[in-house]
Amino acid sequence: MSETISAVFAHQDTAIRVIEDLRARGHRGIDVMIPVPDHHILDILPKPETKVGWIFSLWGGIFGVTLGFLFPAWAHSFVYQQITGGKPVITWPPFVVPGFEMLVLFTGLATFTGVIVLCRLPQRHGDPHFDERATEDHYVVEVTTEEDRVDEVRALLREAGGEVR
Amino acid sequence: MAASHAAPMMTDQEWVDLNRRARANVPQWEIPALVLVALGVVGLLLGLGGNHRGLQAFWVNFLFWGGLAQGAVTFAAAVWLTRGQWGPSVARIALLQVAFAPVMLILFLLVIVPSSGSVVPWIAHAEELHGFKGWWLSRWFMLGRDFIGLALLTAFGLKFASVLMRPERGALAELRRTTLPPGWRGLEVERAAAQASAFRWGIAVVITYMLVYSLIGFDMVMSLEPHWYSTMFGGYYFVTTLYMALAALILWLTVLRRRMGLDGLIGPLQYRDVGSIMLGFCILSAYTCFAQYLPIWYGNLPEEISYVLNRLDHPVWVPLVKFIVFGGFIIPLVTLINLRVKKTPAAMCLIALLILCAGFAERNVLVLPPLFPGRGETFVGPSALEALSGLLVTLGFAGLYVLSVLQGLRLGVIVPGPWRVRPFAY
Repeated sequence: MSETISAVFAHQDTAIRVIEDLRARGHRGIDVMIPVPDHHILDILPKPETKVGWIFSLWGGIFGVTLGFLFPAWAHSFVYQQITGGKPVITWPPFVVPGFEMLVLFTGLATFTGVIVLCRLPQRHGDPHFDERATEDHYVVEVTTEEDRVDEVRALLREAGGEVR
Repeated sequence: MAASHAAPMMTDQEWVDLNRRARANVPQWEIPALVLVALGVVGLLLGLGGNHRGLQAFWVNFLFWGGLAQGAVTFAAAVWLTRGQWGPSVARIALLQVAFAPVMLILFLLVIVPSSGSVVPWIAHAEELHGFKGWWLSRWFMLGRDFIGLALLTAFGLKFASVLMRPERGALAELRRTTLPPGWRGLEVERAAAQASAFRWGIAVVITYMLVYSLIGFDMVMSLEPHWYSTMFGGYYFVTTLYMALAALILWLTVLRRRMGLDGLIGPLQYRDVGSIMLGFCILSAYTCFAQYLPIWYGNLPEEISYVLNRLDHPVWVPLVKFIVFGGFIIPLVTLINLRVKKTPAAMCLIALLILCAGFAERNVLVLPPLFPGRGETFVGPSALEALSGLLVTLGFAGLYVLSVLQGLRLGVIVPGPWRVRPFAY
């Protein structure tokens, strides 16, 4: 069973220090809310590899390219038989173009869908740890950890000067 | 002085030291390269007689190696013009390949001009060409415009490099207390002047490259089959040339960065960026190729389809074409999508080598089929001596190219001014 604890920091350097401490102690479930884009913080945050590519984009692309070949092939064979230059009805060169276009289209759509799904959007109630001050000049550090390490994380955040919630 | 060099991450002294170390460690490959050049001359002489295979190999190699250097310079100009901050040292190593451009011009005058009649079939049968084509493809008009185009491109490239490096040369001289460049007006003034001037010359390089390399594609490659034409051929030619130039740049980066102490400036992020651009050119090359193939395939007109059949319905060229498709398109396309591959120098090096081999095969497949008579069983391939001659000429060009680039590295400023460098990742 895991639990999420958050703390509000008034300064960037203390937030950075506590993130580094948490990472050094093996915590991986760290998230932040920051008032401005900050490369120092983004660089030290754990970066779990996204699964969007494998789960969504790849299959979207495979579906798209298959559709791009099969749909024109079906239409060419059964609906509009436009024999051009004595060429076979079903052959690969002309279908490369719709195949490629559908590949791009469906990869894009699947990736977009993947981002929405994996980010669990839309969130109707928002993050319970959101603090309005994070939109002004404060830094919120959010840690998701196992139940038996909650006290340790609380102590660490408090020692670093954070307002633990 | 110190204020103007106030870069966030590199001090004046670090810049001077990096440049000193880089220049001191430029690879000492002159002797092996000269040996290769000598072998190339022998190969050319061996292939002069009979079917002129040595000259044909020279033609192919001229197009291939010359394109690597000119494409790299154009890439450097494009990075400058787009204010690319991601790899000034990458762009600089590309820019210093400009040293090969004058060599190409000399080779054009010494070999291409005198030998063109032995390689270009229509020169011997000029009476078969009528009207505009007869006028456009008259020997001296074609060679003259190609030479002028290459000379302009060379001049613009050299000027661009010299303008860009002038403030850096002066700043280095001030810091080392050595002789300043003539007419030195102080770093601030020189930088401002270089900025404006390099912008103009950079634009000149990029536009001239597109025009001249389209022209070279039409004149020196497409005209080998004078009755066949494709309006996209010029675009296809300069795009593929840039693609190969980027692959060659990857090899140079890999060879030079550790040896010359540049690994802080040229790291995985720079490989990733060059890899991404290469991926773009991979797709663009395939697009320009396929965009020509599709209407030819559909139209199936005898005067158009012969060009394709000469290559795709031929037992000798088909394996090469397959290699080009896989090595130049499919494998790079699939591998370069992966971020981890793009950030791994060894993997990038392998892919770049594959692209270069495929590119060299492609130049051969573009140039040689009309020069080798017959198809199928009647095909007359090169004899052992002719093949040896071709191989030696290729080695000779490789030597000359390496020799020139090394010379460029020795003469140029390898690490750009700290006001342009944002090292060690961003």
